[in-house]
Amino acid sequence: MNCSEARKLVHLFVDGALDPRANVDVLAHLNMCAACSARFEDAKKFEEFLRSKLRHDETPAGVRIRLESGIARLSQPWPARMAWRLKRHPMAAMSGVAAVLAISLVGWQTCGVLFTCPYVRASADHYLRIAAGELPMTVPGSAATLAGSVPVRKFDGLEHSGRGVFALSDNLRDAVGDAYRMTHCPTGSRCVVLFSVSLPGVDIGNHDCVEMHGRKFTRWEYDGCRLVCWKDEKNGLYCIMVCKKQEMEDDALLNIASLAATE
Amino acid sequence: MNRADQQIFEKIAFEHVDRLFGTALKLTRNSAEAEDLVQETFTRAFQHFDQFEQGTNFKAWIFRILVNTYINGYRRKERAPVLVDFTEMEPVYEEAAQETSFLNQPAESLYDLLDDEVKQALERLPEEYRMVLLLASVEGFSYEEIAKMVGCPIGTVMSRLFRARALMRKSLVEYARERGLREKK
Repeated sequence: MNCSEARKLVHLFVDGALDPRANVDVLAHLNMCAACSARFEDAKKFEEFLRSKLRHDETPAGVRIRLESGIARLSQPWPARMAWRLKRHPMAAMSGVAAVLAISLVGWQTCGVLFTCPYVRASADHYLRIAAGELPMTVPGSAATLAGSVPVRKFDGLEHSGRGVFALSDNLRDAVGDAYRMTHCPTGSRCVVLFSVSLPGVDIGNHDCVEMHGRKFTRWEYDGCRLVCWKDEKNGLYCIMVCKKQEMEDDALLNIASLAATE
Repeated sequence: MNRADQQIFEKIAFEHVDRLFGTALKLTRNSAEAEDLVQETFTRAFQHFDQFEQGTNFKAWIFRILVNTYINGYRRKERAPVLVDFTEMEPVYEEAAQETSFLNQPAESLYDLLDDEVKQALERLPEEYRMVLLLASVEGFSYEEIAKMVGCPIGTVMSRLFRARALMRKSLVEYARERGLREKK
């Protein structure tokens, strides 16, 4: 084997993909050729360097939790999944079914697994960079755009860690998903996010509709987040959302929504 | 799926979660998309776990699902401007293949590059090259396993991998040179 033949095999050698006979031939050549030996050593060192520099970080705990809950949900038979939802959040579960039916009827994107679809089109960081003027006002993967930002809002009895960014979306599901992504609530803490949705001709619909102080509210559930939406005559649809599967009575959530709606 | 199978799935799937999420993050370059990609991968793997042959390579099986899911659902049109026309890149490959300055770089300057600098160089690679480099160099899959995952002949995988490494070398040499110049100033 000469130098030219040996150097053609450098990657196969590094990857351990040479057949035993060729491997022996290469090693024999490297034993008597310092230049090729240096080149092979360098290729091997470079490969080890890449492997060490591109090693993966530990997966965030939130991602693990999301995966575990997804598996737990999938492992339940479908009637049991709905029974669990109905027992735990009767109104929200019914509104979820209504939402899926409505979505099917109007032809929005459908999904294989209830409540676990990847609707989200951009990260919170992406939105914040848009708000800072660093990125154009377009969200990858959807027609959603960003309208602007609002001050952080704080509601009675709740620690608030929402980013206070208003999202405009071409459908409610995307907007809810976007808002969900924008909340970074520490596990176990109570936090809410308020956002608005601009949907031409949108109505909050009649599913799980509640009337308080002369205003209609509708309740939704999204991937463990619970939200209440209401329509503002001037500015479109507003939603307030409580995330991270925290416990909150329906009445408490409605009271917060009512408070926010009257501000 | 019965409870015992579910427990087996959870045990072996979560052993690979860091690798799956890390690869998803490097493919999508977006943490939200990476999260969704891994969740969809887990969902599909769980739903088709009966098709996995016990005793075979689970890591290769679930990575194949990840790569397929990525190719079919997450390789979006808006990524297009980032992609490079391969024919335009051809001279670069030739140059990279002939590159000898890497060998002449003082090893300490190149190998002192930061993780972030190497990750940036990876992000600059065309998607097809980035994918095979991750699967081969980081995950240690064989050419044959990668060929099955990406749906290409083995020869294509080998040439992409060769070019990916050549481009990475070229990028890193530039980083090392720039850093050397900065430090001299």
